[in-house]
Amino acid sequence: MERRDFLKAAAISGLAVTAPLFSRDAGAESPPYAGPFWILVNAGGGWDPRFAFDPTANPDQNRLTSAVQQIGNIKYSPIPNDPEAINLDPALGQHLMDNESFLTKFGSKLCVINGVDTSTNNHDSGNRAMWCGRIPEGYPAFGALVAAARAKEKPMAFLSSGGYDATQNIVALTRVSSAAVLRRIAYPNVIDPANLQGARYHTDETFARIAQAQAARIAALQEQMNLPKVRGGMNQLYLARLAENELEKLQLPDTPVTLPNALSDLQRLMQQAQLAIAAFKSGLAVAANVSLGGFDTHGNHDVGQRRQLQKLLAGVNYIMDEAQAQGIAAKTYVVVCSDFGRTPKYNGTNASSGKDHWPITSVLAMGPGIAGNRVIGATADADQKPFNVDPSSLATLGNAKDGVRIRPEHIHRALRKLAQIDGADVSAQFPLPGLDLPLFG
Amino acid sequence: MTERTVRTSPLTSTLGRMLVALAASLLLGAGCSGEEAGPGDGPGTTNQCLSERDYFAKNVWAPVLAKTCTKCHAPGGQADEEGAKFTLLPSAYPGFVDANLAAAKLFAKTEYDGKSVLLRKPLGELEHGGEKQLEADSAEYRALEAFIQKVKNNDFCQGGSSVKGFDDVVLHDTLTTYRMATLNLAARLPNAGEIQRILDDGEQALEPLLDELMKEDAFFTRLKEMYNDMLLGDRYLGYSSYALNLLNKSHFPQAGDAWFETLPDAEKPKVNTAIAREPLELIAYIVRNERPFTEVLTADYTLMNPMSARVYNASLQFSNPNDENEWKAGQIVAKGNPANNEPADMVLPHAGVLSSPIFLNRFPTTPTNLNRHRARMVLKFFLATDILRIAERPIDPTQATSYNNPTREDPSCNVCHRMLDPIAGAFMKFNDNDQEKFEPNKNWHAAMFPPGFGKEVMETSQYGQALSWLAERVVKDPRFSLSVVYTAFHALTGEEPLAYPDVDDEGFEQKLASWESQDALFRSIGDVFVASNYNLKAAFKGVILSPYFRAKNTLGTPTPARQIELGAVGTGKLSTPEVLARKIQAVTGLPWARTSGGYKVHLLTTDYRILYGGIDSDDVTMRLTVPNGVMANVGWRMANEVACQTTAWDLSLSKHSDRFLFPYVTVDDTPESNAASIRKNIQYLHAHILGEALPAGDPELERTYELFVATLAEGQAKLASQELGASLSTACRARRNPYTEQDLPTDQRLEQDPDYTVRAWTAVISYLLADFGFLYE
Repeated sequence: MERRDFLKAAAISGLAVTAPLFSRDAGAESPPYAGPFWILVNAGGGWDPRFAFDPTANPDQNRLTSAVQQIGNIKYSPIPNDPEAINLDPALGQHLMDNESFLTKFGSKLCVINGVDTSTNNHDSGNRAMWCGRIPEGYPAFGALVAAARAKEKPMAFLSSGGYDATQNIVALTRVSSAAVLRRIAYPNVIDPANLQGARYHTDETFARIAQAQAARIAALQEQMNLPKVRGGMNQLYLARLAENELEKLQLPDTPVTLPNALSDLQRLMQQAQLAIAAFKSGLAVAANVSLGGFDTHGNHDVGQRRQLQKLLAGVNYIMDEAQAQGIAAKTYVVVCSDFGRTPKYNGTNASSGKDHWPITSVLAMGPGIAGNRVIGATADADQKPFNVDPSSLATLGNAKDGVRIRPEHIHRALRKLAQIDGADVSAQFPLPGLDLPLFG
Repeated sequence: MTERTVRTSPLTSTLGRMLVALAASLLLGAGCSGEEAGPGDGPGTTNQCLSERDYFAKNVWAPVLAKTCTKCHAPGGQADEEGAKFTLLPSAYPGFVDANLAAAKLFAKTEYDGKSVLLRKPLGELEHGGEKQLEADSAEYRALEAFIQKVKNNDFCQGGSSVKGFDDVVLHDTLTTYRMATLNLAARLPNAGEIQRILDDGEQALEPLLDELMKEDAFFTRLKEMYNDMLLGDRYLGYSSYALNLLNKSHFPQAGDAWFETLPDAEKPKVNTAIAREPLELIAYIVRNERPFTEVLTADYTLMNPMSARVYNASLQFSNPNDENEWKAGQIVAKGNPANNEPADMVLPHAGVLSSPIFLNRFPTTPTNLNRHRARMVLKFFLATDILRIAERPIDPTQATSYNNPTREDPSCNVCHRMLDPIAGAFMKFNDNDQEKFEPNKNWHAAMFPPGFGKEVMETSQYGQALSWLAERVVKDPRFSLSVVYTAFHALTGEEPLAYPDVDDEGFEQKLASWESQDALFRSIGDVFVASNYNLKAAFKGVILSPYFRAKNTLGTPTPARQIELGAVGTGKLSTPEVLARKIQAVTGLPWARTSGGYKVHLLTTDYRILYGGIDSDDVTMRLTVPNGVMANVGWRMANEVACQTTAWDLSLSKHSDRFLFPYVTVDDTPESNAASIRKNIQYLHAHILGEALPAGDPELERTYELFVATLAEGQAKLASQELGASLSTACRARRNPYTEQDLPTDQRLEQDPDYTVRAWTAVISYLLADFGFLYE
């Protein structure tokens, strides 16, 4: 069969053919990927924007805020960093961050989009919609899309530690666990990775010969294979091996960031980000999903939601600082989303009552080219329903019949434009409806 | 002198030798081709003599009803809400074709003024709420007319089918198929007796052999692994008291200070594992004893060992109270609180895994979730229904504020809650905060849809055994058997069942054909499963014998359209870390492992588990099926480390029949001195490691031989120039017996490689272990 026919058939079948077969010689390396980089932070479970940057002093909706505050153009709920109020040791306060501190530090860079209508109240759909731009299955996460468009050949092009990370086979997904293990596999032919000049399993010449023979064998087998699934599997392995030598470039952190046990989930987020930033700096990755759960506060909302939000902001603060420390801050975007928001009202009257699922949510974004100190969209104080915006000026409109209700597809059209991948072939495979709104400036 | 101990390898060697013999017969043209065509009615051809069901699916459902009618006539759609009797299930519902055919036939036969209602309504007649939908001269309308005529005349082909066969698909021969099954399910290669049976009886031997294979202990390890991918209870193996910490200490005092907390730290993991794995042990027990798999939901017992029985206050007698491997069926007893009008001893009303404390904690509820998450899992795991896909169309939940009780009244909510909430109600007797805490006096919420299943409402007298009531109904639902087939299919192929294609998709016809083939197979396997008295092994066998597991290639070059139809067929699954770890040991005789706490632990299931795409049952619950650059490097490191640790060791064994890898050569054999033996051993290695029966002279054997020769030449040149020495790297020497960890006698060691043959063979082993045929299934 003609290769073109195979590719067409395979693509229609949804198979993992992500590059022309054998388009590059085995072992050939592409130049390091130099950015921009994307860290996509998922607040798993559905956060409450009322406690953050879509605040209200309406006691039915927010029992922790008596008066909304503002820094620059961004309003916030002034909930202080008080570990004891969230059942944590007071000493842990240094690892958390409240809204005021966050805005003081990042407000000038921060773009807040409020009143985003996810049109769903179930976790899977909301998570999917917020990270790929539409509710139905079948679209890749934004991280996968930008990685595929920018440098899909890199061995860690799309890193994910959680959240929505479907790839639709446009790029391989990579999960990492520990830096020590990564170091070991970066040098598969070195017996002791702590001694890179030490003994090899094979001479370098032999190892190259083995790899070359392997590539030739896959090519020969693939030539004889007519079943798309099997052939696709061979192609996956071939493509994964294209960048196998590049892992040697990975400059891993000497020590992983550590926090006290009570903040183990925040530590995990920070370690995920630390590895991602190391991979960015090494030119091996384009995008990384990192995640913090615990936002699904159907019960004990005032404690649980507050605690997780202050961890989340501390996590974003760490990401920004680490990117700065590693010299890639000017090329790094951070986008924060959650499945959806939480209901305007509490589901009970006692202190431990919770809030349920609400489709209206917010998005936070920072990065080069994003106009900061800006809030787009809004929700009504009385019932937390979203206001439409003017599609050109983005001014909030009072009449629901006018303008546009901001939805995930608008966010993702704007993200694609910001990432300059809106014209990429891979984006064209996954078109999004709606208008282009100048959300990020 | 240290006794030389080896784990013998006659079984593996036998398979390799038999495959070499098979290859030889191929070369001589003796015997069959070793490949068998599958059943079917021609290479990708369509038998146009269609059954009623297939005619409907192809000519009525896809082009007309799915496109035009379901937007209003789906459950929760506008027509449904306005009381229309014609309801069509969308394709996310398993069995939607049969249900919709029944509805369409009913309305086809219903006439008004001598004309079918199914023809009058789409024209906007008979006060059709959706007004005019079709033109009388449209292709869609004519399709309805033709269908109605056929229904009237019963003009369908009995037994006819549009399902395309697999005649153009070449299946792996019986021995290779069995090899794939043994490696996947039992962590070993076929043994000599099994191979002989296959040679004697051919394909007829396969099913009985699979039956026997699925009695081995290793199969149950694999079975539990498969079901953990679904139930994810291994999360609670994370630390030694994780599972115990979940349990309410009033109900289960032995889980706390009364006993567990008094145990030495070394003993706690045994108890923790027994509690965490209780649902998996129940599944293993049902399958091991060939009990109806319906008991996965209906069993009025669970499995306990001496430790978990103590925790669960069960009065079971064990032969050895310290043997964590002695499992017995029993009932969990919770200590009640008389102050709450609870009996002192409350026997849990068991309902298979659904009442398991681990299941209840792993799929928790809250005071507002009210068991809906659990209900969703019941639908997903045991009724093959993803409720979220049914509701994935955009809705406007903010409108829910217009309703007093949105989950019952708002159409955008009740489309799911009507199905979900009655099932949720069956979990009513468990505490909303303390997941597994059984509360016999707890009531259900009147604001929700009442407990029940489908349209059947549970009588209040049944509330005491609500979960059992539900389970009895779930297992009678045809979707239950389908869900079992789905699970077996996913476990063995790594693939999700195909989704019904969108009629607007490119290649819709071919995708539909692909879906129809798979759907037909699943239904037939489901029928066999039911006929076997719900023996789970029947579902496994059905998948293994199908082209989805054993397709090897096609007879000729398929057209691009046929390629799409065959998109889901064939092997090509990346091995999971667990399966690959066991395969390495089965093929080389040694695990790829490190020592931890005095035990060998597989690197692929510990250090590299997440990196190689595995799950931790906690944060990471979906396996990666597409390798990335990091995984590729794990594969290389494995190939190099394993080749290093096995090559010299295997070559050092004086009895060639003890060897896993090198039965035909010695370290003295070079291409100059004994090329024939080297070639024969390479042929053996292809068969043994990759399952390839290649005839002598095959280009792939030549490629491997060239690798050996070129590596040898390179090494010998470097030895001559003293760039390299004769000593093997310390890590790659045969100095210690890897099984006993004792030093070998000096004369049995292999530490020097003056001819470079050991290192040339190491290169060959690395090459083969890194191969697609080894890393993939």
